[in-house]
Amino acid sequence: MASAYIVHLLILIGIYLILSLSLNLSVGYSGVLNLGHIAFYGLGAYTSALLALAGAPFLLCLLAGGLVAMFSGFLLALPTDKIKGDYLALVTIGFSFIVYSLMLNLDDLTRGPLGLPGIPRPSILGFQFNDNFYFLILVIIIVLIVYLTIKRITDSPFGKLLEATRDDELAAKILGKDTFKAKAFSLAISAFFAGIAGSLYASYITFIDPSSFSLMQIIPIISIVIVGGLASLPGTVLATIILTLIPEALRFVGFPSSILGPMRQIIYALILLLILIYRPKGFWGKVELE
Amino acid sequence: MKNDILKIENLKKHFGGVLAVDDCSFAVEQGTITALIGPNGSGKTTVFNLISGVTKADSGKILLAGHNLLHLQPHTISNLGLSRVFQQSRLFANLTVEENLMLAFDNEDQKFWASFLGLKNKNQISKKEIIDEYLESMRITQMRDEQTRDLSFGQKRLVEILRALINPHNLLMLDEPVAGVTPELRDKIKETLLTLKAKGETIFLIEHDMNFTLKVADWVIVMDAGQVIAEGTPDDIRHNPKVLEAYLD
Repeated sequence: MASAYIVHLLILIGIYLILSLSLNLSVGYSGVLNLGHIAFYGLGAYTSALLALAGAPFLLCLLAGGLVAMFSGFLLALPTDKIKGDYLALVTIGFSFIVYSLMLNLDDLTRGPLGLPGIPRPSILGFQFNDNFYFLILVIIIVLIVYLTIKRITDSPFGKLLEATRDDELAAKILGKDTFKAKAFSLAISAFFAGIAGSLYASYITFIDPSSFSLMQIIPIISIVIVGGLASLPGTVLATIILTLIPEALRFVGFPSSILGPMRQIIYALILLLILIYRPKGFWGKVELE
Repeated sequence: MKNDILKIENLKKHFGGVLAVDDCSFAVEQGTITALIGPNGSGKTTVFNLISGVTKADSGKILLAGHNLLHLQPHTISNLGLSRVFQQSRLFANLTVEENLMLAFDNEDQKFWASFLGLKNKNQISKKEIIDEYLESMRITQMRDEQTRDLSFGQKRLVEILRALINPHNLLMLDEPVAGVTPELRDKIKETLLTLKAKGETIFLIEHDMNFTLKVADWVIVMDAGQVIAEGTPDDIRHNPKVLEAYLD
């Protein structure tokens, strides 16, 4: 029983890791204050779930989830050439609301608030991932691929261009850099991985509804990125583990489930506040929050 | 016949009701150091911003090696051969000196797929060797791995000048390169500019330090209240009554 619970927690940590690592690519490395990441997660989950329910193989569902999110990432990148900072954050929040609203109201496709039940568990080359332990191995493999891909990107000259754009976009332009293109690439890649996380979530829980992808769900992810440190992948890993496990401890205190949810939000907000005051670079970040 | 790399014709820029640049026309000759001087608020930096695309002009012509720069984006203008240093430090604060300088080379290494697949790794090695030579020439090799946010004002200035030098260009524009630096650094910068000119570089600079400007410049353009009021050799400018009046007003 205990080991099943631990496996469940590790799977959730894995999915959160993909989400937060990919968010750090757009927020931490490129400086695009993207609060619409949950929308990419939701688009990936719904695309993958609908295809899986229609009988498509898991790998196709996974890829399609990522690609649909990636395409919407490109769309969201369009205003980044003109709109910056807080205003861009508002645009991304608006995007998140639009996607949430579509999930809720496109009844014929998404079944609205009733959600999509009975999403099949992954199956690759005839191997069924019904057992959570095997699902965890699948998640670990995907997390490793995502981590190494993002590390490769951020260590490369393209990654340095993203960081230059974050530090001083005008100076990068004056050096002849097409910063809009760089930000669009970064946002699209970030969205692709969020879509992959959504696809994994849908096939793990086997049921999705719009409530899992509301704007509020961005709070734990953005908290992880800030607490771990902007532009720090090891920091993001550490913060994901800590911030996923801390609220779990509340289960053992004996709070009723109606209090548990709000308590989690309070804990995230408190940690975020303390970090902002006492450690503005997060655990491991090299960029100070301004 | 003069070989002008930069030609400005009837350039105008309003900011609300203020006419910041009023029908300016002048040229910068290839292979020279041309200085743009004038009292505070005369429109010098606005002219630099218009040329580099940071601010859009209302009307006029800006020709760089025959290309009209009006309405072009700053990165397009840079790729046409313009390199610029700003008045305030605009280094990438969270990157090291070497990373700042690596970004100044052409854009080939930073293309996504080439970069991701490591197709240009050999270029990177040769570029690092070039950076070493530049750092050595300025005697600042020890700063290579330091984050630029930790550098002193003067050190930042040197790195910015190096970055602009490495950035492929036909014209180098420097906005107050010696403002706020120590006398030793000022001499170092002067020496560097004269060496660059000897190598055939074209330099266009704004500077308030008259002693410095009149020593390094071949040609001086004077602005006041958004207009070009005089231009000539440093000797001409030194004795020009209009210039003296503009500075004494």
